[in-house]
Amino acid sequence: MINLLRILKFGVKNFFRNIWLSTAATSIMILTIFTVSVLVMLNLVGAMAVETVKEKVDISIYLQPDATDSQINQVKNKLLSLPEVKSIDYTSKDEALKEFQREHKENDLILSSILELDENPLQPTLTVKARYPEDYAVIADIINVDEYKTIISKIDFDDNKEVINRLTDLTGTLRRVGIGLSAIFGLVVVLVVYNTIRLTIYTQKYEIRIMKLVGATNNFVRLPFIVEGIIYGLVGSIGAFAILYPLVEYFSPFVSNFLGEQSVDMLAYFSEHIAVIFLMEIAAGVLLGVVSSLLAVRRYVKSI
Amino acid sequence: MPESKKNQSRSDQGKPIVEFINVSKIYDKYRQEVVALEDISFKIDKGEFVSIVGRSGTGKSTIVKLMIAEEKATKGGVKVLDWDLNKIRDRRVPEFRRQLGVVFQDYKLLTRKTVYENVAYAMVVSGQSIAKIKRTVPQVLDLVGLKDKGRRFPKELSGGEQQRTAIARALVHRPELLVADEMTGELDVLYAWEIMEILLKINQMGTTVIIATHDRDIVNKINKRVITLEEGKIIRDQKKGDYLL
Ligand SMILES: Nc1ncnc2c1ncn2[C@@H]1O[C@H](COP(=O)(O)OP(=O)(O)OP(=O)(O)O)[C@@H](O)[C@H]1O
Ligand SMILES: [Mg+2]
Repeated sequence: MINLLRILKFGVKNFFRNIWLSTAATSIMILTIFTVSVLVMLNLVGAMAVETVKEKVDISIYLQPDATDSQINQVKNKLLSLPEVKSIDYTSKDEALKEFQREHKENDLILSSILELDENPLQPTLTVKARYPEDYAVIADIINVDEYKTIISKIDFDDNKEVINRLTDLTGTLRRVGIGLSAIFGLVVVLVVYNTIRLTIYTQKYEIRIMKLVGATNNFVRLPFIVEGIIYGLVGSIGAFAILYPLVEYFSPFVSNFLGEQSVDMLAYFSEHIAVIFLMEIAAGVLLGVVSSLLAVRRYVKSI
Repeated sequence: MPESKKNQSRSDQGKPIVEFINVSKIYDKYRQEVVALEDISFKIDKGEFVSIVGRSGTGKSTIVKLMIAEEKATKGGVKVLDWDLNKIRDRRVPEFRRQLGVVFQDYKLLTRKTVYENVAYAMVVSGQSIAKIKRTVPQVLDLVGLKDKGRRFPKELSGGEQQRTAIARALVHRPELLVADEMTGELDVLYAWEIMEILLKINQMGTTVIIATHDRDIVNKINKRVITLEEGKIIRDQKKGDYLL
């Protein structure tokens, strides 16, 4: 326990010994974690946008008003047997009417005119959702055959293929660029922290020699440098988070407007996952710090 | 711990505390070989006071470095406090170092720490409790006569006082063996004699003391065992010797 405290103290001392260098290393760490966080956020927004658009896509199959239950079931079962289909929602004539009434309850003219008819003129509908956007065309083709011509009056689908493809491409590119950039930044930060700690080790050469000669435990010689690395990681990730939060707050409405989707709410997502995001940043920072310092310590402390 | 058990049996059987068996040390620097020690053998028993003497560059410091596992022998066996230093593992070296005290030729004091802090440092970095540090440091400072100088920095001390600080630091682990390189080297006679009296006192308290020096007057005066080196070889080993060169 006392040892741990002392090691922490020595580590903090190391951090402040070369304050300009430490500041530089910390800044690079902040920059890296911030960049990686932004890239991850962008990927998330992209994925969210794709999801929202995908959610909106479906096929509406309008059935003949006089289609029997068994005919309807026939179509239903056929659809359910397709692996491409994710879900089916059936709206009966009555339900369609109720929906119609609800939608037009302000418009007496329309309401009364439809009620005047003896028979409910609305069609029962099957709303089909596919697992993947590219499956909609396939499903439509399968249903659009002579066998069902007598049951189905109209197949209506707007697959938003263009939009979805563009979004998917965009998120794909974003992810690749993100991974590439993150790797580069990660490498840079490891190099910078590694060299900073190497320099601390070098400036402490004399102390380290004495420590070893008077019987310091190995932990005591090595761990302060690891602690120094952890400090770069901690300060870096807290700094990055402190920049990220206001930026998300500021840009979130713009992103929603840009996508024309109020459901893509970055700020809400951020706030909801704030603990996870914060912890992930800290974990990433500490990991980078520990890896860099371990490399430096393994390479340089032994040879002193 | 097997080592401490062995320690016990050693003192019973009168096994040596330091043993060099046909040791050679060849430094290999910039592809130029320097033979520092050549086929050296000697034993030192518990409780002895031994001076290793010889001219500059004859290998005194090399013997000390081999004894404290700072260097490894090129040939032969080195055994200290029942540790076989040819085979000692890196991660056990700290444990070994805490069983002996070393005073270096250049003292190796930290200039930005006070006398007290320098002495306490050895205990701090080897994980001793604060209570123990507070108890031990004043005791050893008292032993070397630096009780009132704990707050001074090394540069505010005389050479002899710096050396005494180094001795105090070497004593904090209560070692069975104290090894001092080039004691009294650049000090004037009076200071040198003060240092020697401290070492004799420590020896009387039961610690084995080994010193390397080229101060002939002092060695002759104390009338203890002398191992004389010349060009990396032992040319004399006298029980109650003097330094003739
Ligand atoms: N690290 C080293 N690399 C190469 N040669 C060395 C090294 N250390 C010592 N030597 C050489 O080994 C020989 C013995 O040196 P050592 O330091 O043991 O002598 P010494 O008896 O302690 O001398 P002094 O009285 O001046 O301290 C010398 O020739 C020296 O130059
Ligand atoms: Mg020497």
